[in-house]
Amino acid sequence: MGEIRCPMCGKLNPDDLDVCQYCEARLKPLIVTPQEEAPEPTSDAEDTLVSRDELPDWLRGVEGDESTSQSEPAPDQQEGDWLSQLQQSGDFVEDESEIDEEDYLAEESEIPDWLQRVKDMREGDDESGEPVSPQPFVEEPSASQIPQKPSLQPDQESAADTTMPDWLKHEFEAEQAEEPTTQPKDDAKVPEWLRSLGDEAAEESLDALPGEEPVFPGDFSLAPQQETPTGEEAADEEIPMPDWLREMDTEPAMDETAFPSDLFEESAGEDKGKADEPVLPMDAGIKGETKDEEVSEAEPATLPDWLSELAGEEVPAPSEEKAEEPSLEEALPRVPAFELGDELVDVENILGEELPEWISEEEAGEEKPPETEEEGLARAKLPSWLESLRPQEEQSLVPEDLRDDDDHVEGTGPLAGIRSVLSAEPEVARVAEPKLPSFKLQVSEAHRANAELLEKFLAEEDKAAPLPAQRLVTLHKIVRLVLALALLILVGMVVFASSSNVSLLDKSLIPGEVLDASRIVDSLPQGAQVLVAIDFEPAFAGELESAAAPFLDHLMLKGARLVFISTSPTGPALAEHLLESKLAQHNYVSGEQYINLGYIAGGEAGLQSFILTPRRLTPFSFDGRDAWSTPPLEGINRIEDFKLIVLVTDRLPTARTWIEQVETVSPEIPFVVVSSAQAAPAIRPYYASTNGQIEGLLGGYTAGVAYEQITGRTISGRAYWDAYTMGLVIAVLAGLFGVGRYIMALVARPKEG
Amino acid sequence: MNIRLRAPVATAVAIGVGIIVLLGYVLGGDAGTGYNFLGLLRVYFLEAGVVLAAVAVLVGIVNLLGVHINKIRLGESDFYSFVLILAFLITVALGLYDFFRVFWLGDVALQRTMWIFENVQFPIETSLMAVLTLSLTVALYRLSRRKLSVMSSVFIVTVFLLLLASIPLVVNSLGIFADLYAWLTQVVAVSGARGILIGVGLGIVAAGIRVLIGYDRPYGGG
Repeated sequence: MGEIRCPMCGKLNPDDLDVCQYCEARLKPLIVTPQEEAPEPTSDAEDTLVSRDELPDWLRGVEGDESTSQSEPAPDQQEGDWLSQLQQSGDFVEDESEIDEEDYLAEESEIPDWLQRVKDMREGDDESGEPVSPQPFVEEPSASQIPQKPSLQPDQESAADTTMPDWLKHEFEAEQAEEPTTQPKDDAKVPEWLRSLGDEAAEESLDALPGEEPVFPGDFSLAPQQETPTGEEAADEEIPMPDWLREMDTEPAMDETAFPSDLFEESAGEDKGKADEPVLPMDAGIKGETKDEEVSEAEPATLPDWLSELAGEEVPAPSEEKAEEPSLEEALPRVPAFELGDELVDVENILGEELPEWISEEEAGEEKPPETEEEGLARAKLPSWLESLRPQEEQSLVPEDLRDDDDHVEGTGPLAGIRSVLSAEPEVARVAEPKLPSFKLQVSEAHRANAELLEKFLAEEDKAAPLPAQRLVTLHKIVRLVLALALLILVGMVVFASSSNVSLLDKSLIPGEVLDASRIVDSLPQGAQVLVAIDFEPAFAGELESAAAPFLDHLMLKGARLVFISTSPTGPALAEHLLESKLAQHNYVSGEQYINLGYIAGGEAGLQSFILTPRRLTPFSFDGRDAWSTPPLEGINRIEDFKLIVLVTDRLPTARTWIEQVETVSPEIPFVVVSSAQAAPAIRPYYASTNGQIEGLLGGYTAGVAYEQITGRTISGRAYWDAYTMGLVIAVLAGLFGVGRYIMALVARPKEG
Repeated sequence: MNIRLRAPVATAVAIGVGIIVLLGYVLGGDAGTGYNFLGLLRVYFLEAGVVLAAVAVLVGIVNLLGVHINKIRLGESDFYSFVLILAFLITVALGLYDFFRVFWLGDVALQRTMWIFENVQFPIETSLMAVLTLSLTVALYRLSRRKLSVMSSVFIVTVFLLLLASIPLVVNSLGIFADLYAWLTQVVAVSGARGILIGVGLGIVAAGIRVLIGYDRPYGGG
């Protein structure tokens, strides 16, 4: 089984399918191109014969005679095609075939009355001596219609010699030789349609022909044509009447036998009478299905095709006379009378601009002239306007580089029959790397401006905004400088002057927690072991050393053995510094009067561990000694063995940790806290509680000075007392100055506003 | 098989150790009567925690050193990283030398380490505190430049009263300032501080419970 590739989707389908099983596109064309199926006109004589067989009997007989008398197959073939097309196209041809024209021809001698009256009228006009000036029914006949007229001229000339032309005689002879089956219409001498038409036309022609305006019989087919003539047609318009027609009109012998002209007259008169109702004979024949019955009945009477064929077939007979009598036909383009192209021209002129599809198809199919056209026959020349409408020309609109095969004619699909159509199948089957589509962004000027603005903004984002220019001298700087100088100068002067002019606090103003701390020390036995926790930072050494030194001095006076411990990394060094600076006068020796156990890591956990197992956690002293074998730690196995615990700290959390961890283990051991002035109010609740977690509290420098007053010793507090007072005074003055300035600003604002 | 055991193991360890220490605190005995098993476990875990904390300090020091070394290597640092590393190296070298002399040569005290502390760290930190005193004085001057409200006005008044009451001359001459100072520091301030301490205590209990039940995992693991 073969396969057919779908012209639409390119997929293979079995050849027995009519439509694609994938896209349902038709695989086999409905219209077969003439090249594929239509045989060559010259070589297919059989088809021509077949077409002749399909012709009506009367027409076949005519053709047979003509074929015997003329050896011109090309027009004959054209006629056959033309007629067969008409047969296939509409009812007109069928009706035409049904009409027994031979009967009509056989009984033409019996001219109807109406026709005889017309003849009489014309003869009367001729006899009156007035030249019959053919008044074309249509003022502007087309040039394509005119050549038919001279084609009839030889017939008329031959008819001038005899009352019946030869071809008509042959018809009569042939008719008489035929069977009488073609003559069943005994009483119908004229066909019914012709009789009815003839009656009406005769009456109308009588009305329309008052005698002043002779009717140009040959223009009946041009009646409805209102097209603007071309230049050539305008030239033809000047010719009042062809010679053949003039001769025919002037021939007295042209009476009954000249029925075609009479018929033309009749039809012309009919058409003229129906000027407002331009029923076209050819149009009726072509569009027989769309015309009403009235028109279709009038078609045979007005249709000159069969008659034109008969006349055209006789054209070659008088061809020799053309040279003798060069007439209008020489001035006019020589176009075969019955060439299909002219017929189409006529049809198209009659129909106007639009042609039916079947006619267009015929045009496309008959574009190629028969190659075997014999010499002596003028080849049809299509008018320029029709030439431009030809769909299949050698000049293709497809560029040269894209034309794969100029001779290729599309065989399938909706474009079947058209030449040089780009084939879809190779494109489908072609495997090539697809071209990437262009993604060029269409940017307008506004968008470009916005993008540039955005880029500018983004570029500015990276740049640091320039700081506003600062003035070298501002009020804030002046105030800060003045305060600094005041503190340095005034306090420094007091310190370096060792001033002691400021009186100490009154003893009644000494805090009770300081007094309690003093009493605890006083209650200690001589040489008591005291645990001192140094948990403050060196920054607070000035305050805390001044506060702790009087208390530790009091302990040293009592011969206390001090054990230093710290949860701060700098605590051991601060303890050493304290002993070596403020308490240096006691000459405490490490390992003798004091021991520095160093730093306990772990914060609360380390402190808890130290409280539980002090020996395990701090086996060595800060200076590398075996701490627990030294006198300060002699007899100390646990924290409850210490007589006093002293904490020196600057922060509440440290104080809270120590108080919570120690007081839960040994609540009976006195606990004194020496803190900074800022932490003292927060630690004070431990002192102020009912059970008293701490027994003494020394908060800040003033507490140290107060403790000195209690003990009556001068360690370091008194040395800084005047400086301390001076500093407080400066601070208060600065604050008051600032507040006063603010109040003045508030007072000045309403005035300004 | 790659199973992430970090989070559940860490949580289990933290909860288990916390419960053991808590139980040992309550039921483990004391130094006087002797520790039972829970008490010994509690002591052991606390000592292990202290060692880990000490190691953590060393890890922190090494990390600080590594950060500044990376800054120098990448060119992101300035002069201070060099100073820090140089000071660190000098301090460690002198400390190791003192340690060697004390524990192997029997020398007394850490003279070089103390010299660095007393001549470098101590003056620097006390000087910074002195600068803070100056800054606080300037801030006091500029305190009223802010828009005054009720609370800010109360704050300013309180500051001035305490400063005035701290001046010995004022206190000695005007006894009312002494009483005012005592009232402020022993009643108002203590009441506020006590509330803070109670809140801190409750917060510690709540935080301990959250850690014990695994709701909070400050050690990591989600």
